[in-house]
Amino acid sequence: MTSALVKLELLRLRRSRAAWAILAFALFASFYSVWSGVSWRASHSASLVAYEAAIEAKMDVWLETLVAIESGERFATPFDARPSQVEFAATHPVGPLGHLAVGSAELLPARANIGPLKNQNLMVERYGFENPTTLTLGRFDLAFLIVVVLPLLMIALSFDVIAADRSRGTINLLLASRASKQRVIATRLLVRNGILGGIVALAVVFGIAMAPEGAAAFGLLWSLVFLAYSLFWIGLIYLVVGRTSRSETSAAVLVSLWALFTFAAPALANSAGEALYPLPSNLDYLSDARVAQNDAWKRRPELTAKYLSDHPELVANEMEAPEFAHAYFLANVMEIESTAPIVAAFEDSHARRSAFVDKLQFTSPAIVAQRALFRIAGSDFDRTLSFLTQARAALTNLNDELRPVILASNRMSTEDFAGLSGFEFKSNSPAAVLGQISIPVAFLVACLCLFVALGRPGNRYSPFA
Amino acid sequence: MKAGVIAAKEALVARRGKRLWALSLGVIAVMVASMAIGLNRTATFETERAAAAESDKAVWLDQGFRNPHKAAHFSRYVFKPIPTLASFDPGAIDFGGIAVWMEAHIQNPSRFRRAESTGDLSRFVGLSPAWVLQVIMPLIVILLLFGAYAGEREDGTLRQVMSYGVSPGAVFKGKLRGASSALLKLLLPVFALIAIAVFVFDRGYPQEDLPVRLAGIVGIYGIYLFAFAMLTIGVSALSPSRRSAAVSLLAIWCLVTVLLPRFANDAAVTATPQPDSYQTWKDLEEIKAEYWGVIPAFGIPLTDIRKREMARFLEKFQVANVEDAPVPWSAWELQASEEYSDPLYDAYYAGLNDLYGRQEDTRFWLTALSPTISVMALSSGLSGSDRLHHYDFVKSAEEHRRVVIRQLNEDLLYNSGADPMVYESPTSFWGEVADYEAGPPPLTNFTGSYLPYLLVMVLWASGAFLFARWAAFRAANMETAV
Repeated sequence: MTSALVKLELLRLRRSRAAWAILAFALFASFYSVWSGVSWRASHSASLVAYEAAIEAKMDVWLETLVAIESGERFATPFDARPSQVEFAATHPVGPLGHLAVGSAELLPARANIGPLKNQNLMVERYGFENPTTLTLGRFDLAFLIVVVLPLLMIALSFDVIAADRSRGTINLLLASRASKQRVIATRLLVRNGILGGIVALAVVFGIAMAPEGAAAFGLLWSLVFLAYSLFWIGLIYLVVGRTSRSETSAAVLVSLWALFTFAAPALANSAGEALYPLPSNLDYLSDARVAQNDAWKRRPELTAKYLSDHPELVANEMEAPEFAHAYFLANVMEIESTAPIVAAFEDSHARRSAFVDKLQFTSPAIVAQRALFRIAGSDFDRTLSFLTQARAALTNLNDELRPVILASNRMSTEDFAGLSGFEFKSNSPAAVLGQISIPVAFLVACLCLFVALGRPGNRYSPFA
Repeated sequence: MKAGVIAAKEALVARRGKRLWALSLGVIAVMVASMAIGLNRTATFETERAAAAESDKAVWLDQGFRNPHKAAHFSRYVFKPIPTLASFDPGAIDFGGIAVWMEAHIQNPSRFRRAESTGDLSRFVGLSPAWVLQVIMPLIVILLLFGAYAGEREDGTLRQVMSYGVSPGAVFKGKLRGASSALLKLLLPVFALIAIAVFVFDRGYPQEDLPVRLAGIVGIYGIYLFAFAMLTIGVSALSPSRRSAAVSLLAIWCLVTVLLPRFANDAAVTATPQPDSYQTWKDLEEIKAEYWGVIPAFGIPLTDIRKREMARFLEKFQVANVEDAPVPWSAWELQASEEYSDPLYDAYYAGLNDLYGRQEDTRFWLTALSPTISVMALSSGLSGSDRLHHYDFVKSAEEHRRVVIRQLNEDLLYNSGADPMVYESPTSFWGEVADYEAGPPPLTNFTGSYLPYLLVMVLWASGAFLFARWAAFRAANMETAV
């Protein structure tokens, strides 16, 4: 019986122009979104590589000069190979599946210059040259397609899965056979959405194949979320179409639920998060930083003298370094110290807001899916925050390592240079990401189980009771 | 039977069905919530801006004795005023930087985009009154009117009406008046609410042409929703049943208000990619270094540009050596280098602006498929929160930077004596440096840029009207023929 239902459904789909249009749109939109993401990834990654290469080339020249000075091949001027000129590139690489979920990645900083003449405010290389208009709406990436567009296409393909038979008067004929209404709906939903899901799944597989090496585990997690989210919607449609007798009512209820889950709930959760856990203003941070810089500037002789009186062994400089090197260094160190509370407050507020949204995400499957897909892709806001935290820590480390030589106006040795810690971005492992997404994905699966249980004919709430 | 009777019947049906009241109440509730969020955001942002500007001034005045060129490197920040109507439509406000560092030698981009700290959820949608009018209100219009003709046909009342000898034109006029009346009942309280919120409660930076902007907003949303109403009546007239009208209209709504704007956006940046931040900054630093060769330029041979400037300097003061001039050469060339690079920065930023324009052109062409793209552009423009207003801020910040840097360089030039490097300005000097006081620009600065979008809106509304009229006449004639 099921195979007959499947064949009949396939025949109906083949004859439906609307179904062809929906499937063709899904095919175009899903592959377009992957292609668009891949091209973004390529250009963004190339830009990061170029930045790293430029800083490395600069430091190679610096190191060659230092070697030449050490070996006596070159006369040292006050400006040559000073420790204050040391720089490292810190870059935030595109996540393993970043091309499938561009998310906030096109908006957030990805390059920082770690050096003693930089402070936390200025270490992030200038960015923000993108067109604000086009940033406003975001990209048509695969995550958007799955979270927002796919449920809509599923609704368009499924809202009249049984009501059409009712309006045509063929429902009794259909049910006169051995098939139950429940089975008819389930089979039709699985056939229609199976084809649609298969098309998007092809794009997902293609997208995963376009990922760099080592992304297979993340690809598996991404597929898992995609499957759970798709099944959630099939379950929801199953319940709604079974309960409503008219197709326009089904369509209206399903579109309302879609709008509620993909627009209203995220907007309200976002507004509630902003209102309840406001982040310290960037402008407050800037004000504090500038006050600290100004103070450090005015107190630089006193600060230098104090440090050197605590470390008299350091006062053995081979050549006086330019005064601005001390001044900038001290100003930056002071700025880091004085803005530490506001940075900590920012991180704390963000963590509390994130924890709040973690709870609120269960009000909408779309939030659950978006957060999970972004996390797996490595495009989430938390990852950028982690990059900035790591970059700040690297800057503090470097300052600690270089403080003695800079304040004493000494020149560092090549050996000391080789021992500097530099920067390497540490991202989450697949296991850590799995830990983050397991409860939300379990929630989607639990919802699906609930829908199936509610849909059983024996259940008093069942639409088929 | 006159069109007025049909319109009265439409109004009666709407009243009896209570659908209009329920939808009105729902829309007003959402509008109140979104407006409250908008007002709160604007008030917070403006408070932060005012506090930051105050703090920046205090730090500037508190520098003590300092070399003016070192002060030019520390310099000041300019903060973007958040206009009143940003509460209604935040547009691109969160995606353009809100502060510009007026550093010597270089035109910095604006920094601190608010969207950077709003988290991932904001990528879904930002709840604002404009968004409600752009996305939710068309849905409400569809829910109100999808049965206009299809319902009457399904119930057999359309044939009945036609059998009384009522002309198709009269039926259409009646439906039109009924739809307009329903739309007005829905929109008047919404616009009244927006006006009260903006005039009474808003704490944004005042916009001098606020009434004109608000009138424009009312006008464009009126046209936009009229277009949707006509589209709904047209589709309803072509549909055999309420079901098919509802489903077709929901599909159109999703496509026009949700999918196409996002797709148009993506197509715009795919056709004309965003500028690469690293390369852009490198280009700007190259402009900065063009005059000097390299910065710092101590001990570096003079570039050709510097040699030419030195010749001009010697000629101006009629001396053979720079040391013989009445003002220090090093201070002179600080200002000369600024004046050399200013037009280069202007050209570079104009190029970036052209690139943004090309992206928006791609988006513009897709307005043929979605009036929502047009209304988004017009709404954020009228609210003063779009990219054009942002660019105007960036330009005015740059003009102010040039005034400030000139003032600092002239202090060095005329007051530093023989050794500008060791000269320190007196503390009283910092108060002489002008504050940035420009507010939001007037709408008239950009009228030409919005006209094509307005034209598209009018074309959409006219096209939708003609479509509705054609479909309505066709439906009525078919009933008569049967």
